[in-house]
Amino acid sequence: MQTKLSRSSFLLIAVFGVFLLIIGKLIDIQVAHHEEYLASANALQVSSRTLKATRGEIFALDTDGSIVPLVLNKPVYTVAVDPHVYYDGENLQKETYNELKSAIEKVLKNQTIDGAFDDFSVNSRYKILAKQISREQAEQIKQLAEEKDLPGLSLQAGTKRVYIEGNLAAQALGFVNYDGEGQYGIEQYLDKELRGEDGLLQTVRDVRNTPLAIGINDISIPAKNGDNVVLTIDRNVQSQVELSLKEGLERMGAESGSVVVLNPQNGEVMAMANYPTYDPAEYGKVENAEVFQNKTVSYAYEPGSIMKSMAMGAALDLGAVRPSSQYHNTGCTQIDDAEICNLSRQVDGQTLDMTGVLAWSLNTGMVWVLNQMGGGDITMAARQSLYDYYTARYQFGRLTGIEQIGETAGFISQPDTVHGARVVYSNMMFGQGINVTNLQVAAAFSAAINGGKYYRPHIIAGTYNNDSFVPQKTESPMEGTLKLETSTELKEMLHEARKIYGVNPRNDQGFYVGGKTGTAQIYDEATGGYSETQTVGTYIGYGADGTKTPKYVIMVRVDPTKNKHFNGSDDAMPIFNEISNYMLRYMGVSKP
Amino acid sequence: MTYQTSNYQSARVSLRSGLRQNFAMNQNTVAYARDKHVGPVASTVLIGLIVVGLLVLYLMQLAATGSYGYQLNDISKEQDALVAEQQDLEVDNARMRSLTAVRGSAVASTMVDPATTDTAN
Repeated sequence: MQTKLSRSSFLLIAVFGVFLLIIGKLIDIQVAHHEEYLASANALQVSSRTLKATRGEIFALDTDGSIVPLVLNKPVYTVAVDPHVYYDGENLQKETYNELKSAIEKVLKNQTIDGAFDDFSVNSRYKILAKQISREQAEQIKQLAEEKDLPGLSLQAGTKRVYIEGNLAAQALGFVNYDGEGQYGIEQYLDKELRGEDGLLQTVRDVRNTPLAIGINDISIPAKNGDNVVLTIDRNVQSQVELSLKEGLERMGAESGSVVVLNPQNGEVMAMANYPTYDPAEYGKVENAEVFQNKTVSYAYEPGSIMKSMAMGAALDLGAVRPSSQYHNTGCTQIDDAEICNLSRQVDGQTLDMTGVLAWSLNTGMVWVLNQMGGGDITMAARQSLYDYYTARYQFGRLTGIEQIGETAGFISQPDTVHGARVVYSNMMFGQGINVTNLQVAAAFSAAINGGKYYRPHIIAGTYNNDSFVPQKTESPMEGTLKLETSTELKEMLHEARKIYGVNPRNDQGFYVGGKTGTAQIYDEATGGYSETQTVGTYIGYGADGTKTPKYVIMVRVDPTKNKHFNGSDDAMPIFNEISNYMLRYMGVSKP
Repeated sequence: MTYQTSNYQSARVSLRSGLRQNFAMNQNTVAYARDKHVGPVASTVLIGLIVVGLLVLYLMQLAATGSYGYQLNDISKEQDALVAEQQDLEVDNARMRSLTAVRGSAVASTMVDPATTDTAN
């Protein structure tokens, strides 16, 4: 019997056939060419956007220990336009273009980039009109664009650093360059911590580039903002130090100098000032890049007689001399082929105790002390002892590890090298023939007068995120720089020496203040020896409370200028006095 | 155990003389099973409609999920704007409390330096 294909069967076969075709095509697309189509779709639909991390901010301390901002981030915007959309074919739509121009110039006035509207090419799809405009200006432009229906305008958000206190602590802070990289100071030292980590948003996007919450391969990694850092710097002390330094240098006709103020009880840097200085917000206008450097840590020099305080401390600690030991001042002394003389000849021929040696800053007296350290001669043992105290105890010739860029370790001659001759070590007793930084001297001096504890100087107090302050882990001091009794004796000697030298008693007003002047010759490259026309003026001192516990240490340096002598007593000490008197009042220090 | 049946049940006749009470008067108590079948065309169309329905459902869900992206984007933009405003306010606040602002304030301008200073002890 002949079977006939019914219409319904035919239809069924036809539909089945179409389904087979569709399924076949689907298999071809989704299986055979899966990777190819997936890549093509991803290329069209998926795009990535970096989620910029906000740079950490920098804070300082205020009078009551509260935290105040020094460096913050301010939102700024870049205005850009797509010139192509202002063209009808090759013809510029003058009316819309002029509306755009007048709208932008109305809001930004002269803030637009030079020639922003001159080269408005049809081939250009992106042209920046202005950079770093404020949020308010961006809002006004957005509003005007909506009102006047201006096409192709875009506002790109960014941030810029704002220095709340202007050029306060400029060298210690550093700045952030156009590429967002920290330069100098804390900005460079802690660049990684301040920068944070950018995030990533990778999603399917629509035609307007809006991210859509679909797609199984979306990546959403939030940005990790940088840490906010709190410095140990007290902004009031820093401000006063900078003012005193600037005014003091101007009074004496000096061109540059530096001051460090340390807390001798914990190594915290209360102030770090350099002059000349600059405004970190306008770093691009600086002509001499030397001004960016923090010379309190990056400039090693021969400090002069301020080192006598540390050298005397070493000799007292060894028992080589006592405060009451007597020295007969001959004015000059011969060491091998070198004659070493005192700057001050007022007490030639007199017999003085060790406080007198410090007060009159007798170079010959210090050479005599070195002799005593060697049992009557400048022996290898004497030199080795001095070297050990200077390096292992006072930490000269070593980096302090301060959180600043460009710190230098300085230089100390070895006692057993050709440079470690008797003359060099004699010079080292009064701060010549040795290269140190302001910070090294201040930290060593602090250890010498605080009971013999060396605290590593530091400038970071902690972090401040989400209104919560987390202090930096404190390091234990290195004990035994000097014995406690030696430190107490030295502190008293420096207090008495300051009075003996004729410091106006009204300067200290009965407070317990001590210190040492320094006047150092500097190396002249032209002659290969010491300059006859230029000297550095230095002063190191402390202020203590009624229990004679030191509360602050101030180290001042006045740099030489061409053919000008600066000395410790006339040039550096007045700056110390002014800052010291301020510190006594500011810290509410009591009298003994 | 009791059970209830629908009045519109399409079952084979179940003669329960005297037991069923739900038949109307004079109605033929015999009801033949109706032969209802879905033909191949109808079944194909039905299957097609079901598949299309499922596809539409899927697309609606996808679109709904996609629309969350727009809400998310709007909220994100609003958040960015508020963060920017907060940063601006923090800067303004800090500037008002800066040393320069304090020194230039009306209160500071009326202050004078003391002639001498000393402490009680």
